[in-house]
Amino acid sequence: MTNVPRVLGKSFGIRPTRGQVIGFACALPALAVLSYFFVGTASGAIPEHPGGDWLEIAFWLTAIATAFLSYLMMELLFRSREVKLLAPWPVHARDILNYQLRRVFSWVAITTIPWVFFWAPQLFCEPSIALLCISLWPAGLCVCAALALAVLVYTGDMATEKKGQAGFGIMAFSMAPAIALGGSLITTLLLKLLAEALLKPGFIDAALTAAGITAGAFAVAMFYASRVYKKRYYRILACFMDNDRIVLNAEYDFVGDATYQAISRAGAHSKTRALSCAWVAQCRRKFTLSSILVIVCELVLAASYLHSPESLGMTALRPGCFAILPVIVFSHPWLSVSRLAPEQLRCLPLREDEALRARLSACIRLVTVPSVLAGLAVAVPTASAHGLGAGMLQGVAVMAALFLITALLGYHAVPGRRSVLFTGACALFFAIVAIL
Amino acid sequence: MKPILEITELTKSYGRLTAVDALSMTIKPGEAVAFIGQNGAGKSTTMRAVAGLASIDTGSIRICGHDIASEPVEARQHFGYVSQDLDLYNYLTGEEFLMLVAQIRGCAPGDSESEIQALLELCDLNDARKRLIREYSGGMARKIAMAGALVGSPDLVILDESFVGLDPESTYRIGKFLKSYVAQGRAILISSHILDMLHAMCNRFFILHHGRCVADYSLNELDELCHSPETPDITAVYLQKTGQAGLIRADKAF
Ligand SMILES: Nc1ncnc2c1ncn2[C@@H]1O[C@H](COP(=O)(O)OP(=O)(O)OP(=O)(O)O)[C@@H](O)[C@H]1O
Ligand SMILES: [Mg+2]
Repeated sequence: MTNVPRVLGKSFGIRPTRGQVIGFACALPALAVLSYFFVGTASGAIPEHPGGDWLEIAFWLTAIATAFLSYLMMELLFRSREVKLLAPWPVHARDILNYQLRRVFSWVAITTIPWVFFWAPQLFCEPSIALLCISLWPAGLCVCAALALAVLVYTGDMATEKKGQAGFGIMAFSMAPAIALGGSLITTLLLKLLAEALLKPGFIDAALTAAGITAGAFAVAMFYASRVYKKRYYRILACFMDNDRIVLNAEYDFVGDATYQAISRAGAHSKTRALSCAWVAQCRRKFTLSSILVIVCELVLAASYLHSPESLGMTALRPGCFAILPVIVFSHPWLSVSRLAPEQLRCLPLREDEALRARLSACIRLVTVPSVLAGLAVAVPTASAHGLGAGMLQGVAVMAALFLITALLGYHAVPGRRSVLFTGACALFFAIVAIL
Repeated sequence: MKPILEITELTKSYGRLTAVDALSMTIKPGEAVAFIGQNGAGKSTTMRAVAGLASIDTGSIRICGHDIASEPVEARQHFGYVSQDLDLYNYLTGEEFLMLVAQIRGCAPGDSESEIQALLELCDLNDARKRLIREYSGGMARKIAMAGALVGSPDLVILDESFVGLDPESTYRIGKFLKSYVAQGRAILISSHILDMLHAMCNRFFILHHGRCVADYSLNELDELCHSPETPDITAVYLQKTGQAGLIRADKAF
């Protein structure tokens, strides 16, 4: 009998070219060098804080990755190309689940390789802490994947039951990744506490409790998700697809006149303004959820500073880490150029520089609010100019990333994977700048 | 009369496959040109090249005297294009999209409002004007794309299989509109496999086979051909010209 998950993996899996593999392999030592200089060779561990700065760094980076994964899970389960292709075919839900789990866990495994290299220099200095830092990533991501799976399946199951209630499905599906993210942040925090307990002598009970809770969460989530998934996957998928066709918008049936007015008022002499208005409207409608998420992130940031204002001095890493989020979220509209600036735009009488200016002005309008919010989120609780500066730096980072992307990749048809890598690199670069 | 479109010796290959092979054609004002050919004959490739979306290997394309490669903006001022695989502004509403096109084409604001209204009515999309294009049905999306190509009344309208999936009323209404559009001294280039519709709508028929032109008939010439017993209709003419006359004979024997 054919092994369906294997066939699926072969047909849809990513097949890296030799160049990509070589590039990946060359980048690994670079990561070690990077961490040697930026993370350093002393963990700064003290008895109250047995993981030192290293565990903090590992925790925040893992937290960011789990944020990604919670959203990726939704894409993978319900929105990916292969899911849409497979939907009308006679494939058993069990096989699809196996295939998807394989994909997620191999993704975790592959990303763990650079992670290990990142911690390689530390491994030679303080091996016990470094080893715990290394384990945090795969453990955190695996638990996150399981939780996201369970939350999404639960949401889908609930949404199929409450079919009659208009809007419920959209709300539920858009909240699900955020809930999964919350859950996985808690478990990642537990894993971090587990690591600290292991490092402190005489805390074995605490370590066992933390390990028990996370392992239990993982097992329960996997068990529940696979049971429901196997039984009701197709019904849940249909429900998701229904809801996915509708844009998350308060007036989703009929959109107001404001954008139409703005475009028409731009005047025929300002093509740039008309296009930029259209762009902003499209991004706001397409990325409603991302915009909300950015604001939520800034609120969390503000709350964390309000809770312990001195943390700004201690770990300036936090604003740096958070700086990555808006960069990624708001370069997203830039990346999905094919969806937001369709071919039709290229057949219109528009000079390259006009199009570019429109795009930049749209992006500036889109990032202004989050950067100001970021600045305030740091500045208000700490009542410091330093904080405002850190926040503004985020804004500058976003802008610079956007400018660089344009300058290097050009306006038309930004190829997907290359630009994702590029944005990743930009984000990393600016995060480091922000840390320093 | 100055030609609207001049294609000279256009060649375009994808690797070893020559999709369009030294194709030349001229379209003058008042011509509605039907672009006919097998799947893979090179129709879309030619149209994409004309719209400046595909690079070409050799040859030149001029629209109202402007070379599409060296004067991209001026050339684009004179045509509207709807591609075969629709790629639309999914997150704009129908009317926002049309207004955007009007602004980019530099239409006067007062005129564009009434033009958009007329186009929305032509396409029977008045009720859906405030809905996101993403929520449109397949036929509605094609119609809004066609309306977008018509905004600003460009001299040349290029429609690549734009009638696929349109309901009979829309086909009739838009077909009639295009006929009058051409009569006002403009031109259309339209590819389709619905030969009877093309016969009713166009006045010039261009048959493409393996990237080369194998026939270029005016409506009168085609009508004359259709009177001969060998080729009673446009389908028979097409089959004969593309080397599949055997199919007609087999059909007769049957
Ligand atoms: N991007 C591409 N890469 C490689 N080959 C292509 C590409 N686009 C088109 N071709 C090839 O060029 C030839 C002409 O294709 P084209 O799309 O122009 O055909 P067509 O006449 O529009 O056909 P249809 O009636 O099916 O739309 C085909 O053989 C096709 O396989
Ligand atoms: Mg085609």
